[in-house]
Amino acid sequence: MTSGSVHFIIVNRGKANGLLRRAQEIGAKRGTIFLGEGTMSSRWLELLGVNQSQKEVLLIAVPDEVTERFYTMLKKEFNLHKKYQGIAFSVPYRTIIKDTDKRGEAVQDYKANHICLMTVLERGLAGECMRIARGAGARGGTILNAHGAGVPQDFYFPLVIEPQKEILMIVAPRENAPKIRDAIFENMRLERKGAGIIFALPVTRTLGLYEERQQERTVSP
Amino acid sequence: MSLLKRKFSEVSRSLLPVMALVLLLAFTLVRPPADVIWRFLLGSALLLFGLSVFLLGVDLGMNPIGDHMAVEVATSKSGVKVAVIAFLLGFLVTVAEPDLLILGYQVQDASGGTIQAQAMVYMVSAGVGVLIMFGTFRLLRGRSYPLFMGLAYLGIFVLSLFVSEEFLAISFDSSGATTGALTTPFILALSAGLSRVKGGKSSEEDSFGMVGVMSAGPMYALMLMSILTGQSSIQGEAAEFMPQQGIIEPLVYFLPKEFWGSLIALLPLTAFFFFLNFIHFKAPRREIARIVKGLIYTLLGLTVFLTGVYAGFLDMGQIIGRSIAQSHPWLLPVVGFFIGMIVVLVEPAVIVLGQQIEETTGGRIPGKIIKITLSIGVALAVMLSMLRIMIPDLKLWHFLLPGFLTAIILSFRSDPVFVGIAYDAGGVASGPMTATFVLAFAQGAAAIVPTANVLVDGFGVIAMVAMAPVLSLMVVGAVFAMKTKVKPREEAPLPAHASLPAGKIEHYDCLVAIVNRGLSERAVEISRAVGARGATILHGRGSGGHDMKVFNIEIQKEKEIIFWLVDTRLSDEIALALYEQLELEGEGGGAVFMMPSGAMGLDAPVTIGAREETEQEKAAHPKEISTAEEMLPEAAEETAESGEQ
Repeated sequence: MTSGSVHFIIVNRGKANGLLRRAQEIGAKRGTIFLGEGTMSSRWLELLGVNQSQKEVLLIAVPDEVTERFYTMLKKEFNLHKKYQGIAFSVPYRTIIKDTDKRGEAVQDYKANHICLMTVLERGLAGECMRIARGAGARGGTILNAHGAGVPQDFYFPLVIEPQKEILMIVAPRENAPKIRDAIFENMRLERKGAGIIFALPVTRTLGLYEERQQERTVSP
Repeated sequence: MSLLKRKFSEVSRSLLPVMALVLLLAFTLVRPPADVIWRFLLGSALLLFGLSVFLLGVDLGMNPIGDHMAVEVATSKSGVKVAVIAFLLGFLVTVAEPDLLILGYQVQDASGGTIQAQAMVYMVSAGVGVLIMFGTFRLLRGRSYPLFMGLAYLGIFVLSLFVSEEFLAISFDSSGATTGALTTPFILALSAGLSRVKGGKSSEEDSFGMVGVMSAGPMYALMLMSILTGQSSIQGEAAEFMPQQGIIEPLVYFLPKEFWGSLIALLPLTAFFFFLNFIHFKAPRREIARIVKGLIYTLLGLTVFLTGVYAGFLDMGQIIGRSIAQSHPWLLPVVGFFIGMIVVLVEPAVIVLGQQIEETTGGRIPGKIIKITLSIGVALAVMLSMLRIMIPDLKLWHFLLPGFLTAIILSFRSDPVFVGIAYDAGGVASGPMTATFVLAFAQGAAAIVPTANVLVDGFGVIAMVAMAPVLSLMVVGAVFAMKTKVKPREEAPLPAHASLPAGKIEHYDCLVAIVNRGLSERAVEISRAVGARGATILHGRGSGGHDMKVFNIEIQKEKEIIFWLVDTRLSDEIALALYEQLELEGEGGGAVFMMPSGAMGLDAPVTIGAREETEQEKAAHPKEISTAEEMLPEAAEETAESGEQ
């Protein structure tokens, strides 16, 4: 079994290619980039209807021995620890265990200080969901456009309708996560059939989160 | 970075080269009056502001409307309804286009009143409606797009044998006038929406091409009118050129005019949308509020943009054309080349198309490549048009016929996504900037060159601008297709359903597979066969060593990322099946891995929507596992609907 961490890096649109190239230079093999939308909490921007910013999400696995270098690079070259530059976080992963007997060991307890809440919703509802999450203490989130697996439908045209979805990704401190999760679950009424699902991933490392910047500010005047 | 700021920087990046070129000409070769230069600068500022706001409005207002309309059309239960709505959409979006009416009056004058302006507007709109209708059926039925367009243009060639060269030019021009600043983004959104609803393997290439389909409509309409009325020749000269005076006055003159024009152009479609919304789709209030905001941005942005273009660019174009034709005629093709190259990038629809390409292909086809190719195409088009103005023996069809023929032949060999983009590009490139600045430049030159006819040669420019990018993009698409050839794969039988040990689900894995484009359907099939339920799919791009380059821009492979939430005890079986069946090993193949979920020591297990089990499922699964369905409502619903199990 191989295990390690897969890193999510969320940056402004157009920056992910350069980041991927640099990561490959220091030893990462491959990465995948997808497009997302950031959400900003500014009341008057929201009033104008322009409270979204275009982001790119890079999903990349880095060998353990260069993880430190990778994070240093994110900090030094891409300024992720500063405001509006993006965030990065790591989620532990494992690959396939072929031996059936050993599979039970796969469940490990990770030292996760943060939780990444992933909510899969009908297209168009992620903004509303973010508002609710914010009410429960979340700082920010990233919306990804996705679709469900095709469902054949009988309209005039024999179509395979792909239900359009949005995924809302929120990284929150471990102690806040249950509150946010419950707020989303109740207010988005996820108990309804097909309304959406929410699940959590352990986050072992973060960079550039709002809380961290707050801390830094209090430490250095 | 906020959305508006991003639009701002995007527009200014394309606008700055235009300003640099014009100012360079203004201070070296041309020497226009000072007020024209000031007005040009002011116009550029208005253009920057107006276009940024307009693009924002398209995102917020037009795209959702296009989406809703697409869903409405595609999910109809009767063919008649599909036909009626599609026709109406095409008709309504065209009939109020102000440029079309202006062209109508020009044709009315030139034909000595045989062809009425209003009649022409209705004919052209009906032509667009019919073509959009056919295009919609083509898309939803999944028929070949290159064949469809090939036949559409074949029909145009046949008809063009019966009309005069002047009418040929006007027909192409009317097609340029219909694909205006407002119509093109809407049709782009509609076609993207339709293909999203339809889904499946061809959804990416189906996102484009509807603008190309629609631009054939006006050509049919006008040529048929010419043949039916027996009006084959047109006389008359373009109106005498009179530059506007002053800096502010022209702005004051154009602003209310453009405001009304834009308002009227927006109204029919908006009314149709709110009507359908009222009787049928009833979108949530928050979304309607967003759309209304978007529409207001669209209206304001378009007004300011067009005011800037008409007040600032029209006279400048004429003066540049005239003075270069007077002083250095041999420079005309060179100047034309550069003007074509950079002006096209300020076309609103070009920016919208660029964005949509990046969104749809998950960034696999960088907007940059499309823009460079478009630039080259339009640059050559304007250059050749200048040559045609200077050399009377060169006829319009000398370029159009071989150009379109080559494009049609290439379309069968080209990367399918590019075929749609290429046909769209013709309509997209011939927008308001071409219709004012480039056309004014050409007419200015034609007015001085003694052998040229202002009317015919002026119209010809738009026809050329509508043709050249089709060809240039088709060529790049063919290169793309050659470089990214994939060998067909054999489909192995699906794996067997995994047996599950008894007991409740304790832990979930978030299983992630990253596969090459087009394989996600197969991946979902495999996972279902082993025992997974619904999946969520994202489009992205990835790099795995063998990256190709076009114009020195790196092209990454398009990937699909699939998420499942599965029982930890099942995840390895599913992962293994995916790994083996999809041949994920090796460079650039793909990846599959698991992230632990819901078992990371939260105070309670992660909450997932619970729901009632259906009778079918109760029968199909042992009691213990029923929690799995409870916890995966979305998944279970999909399976229930698709009638599997």
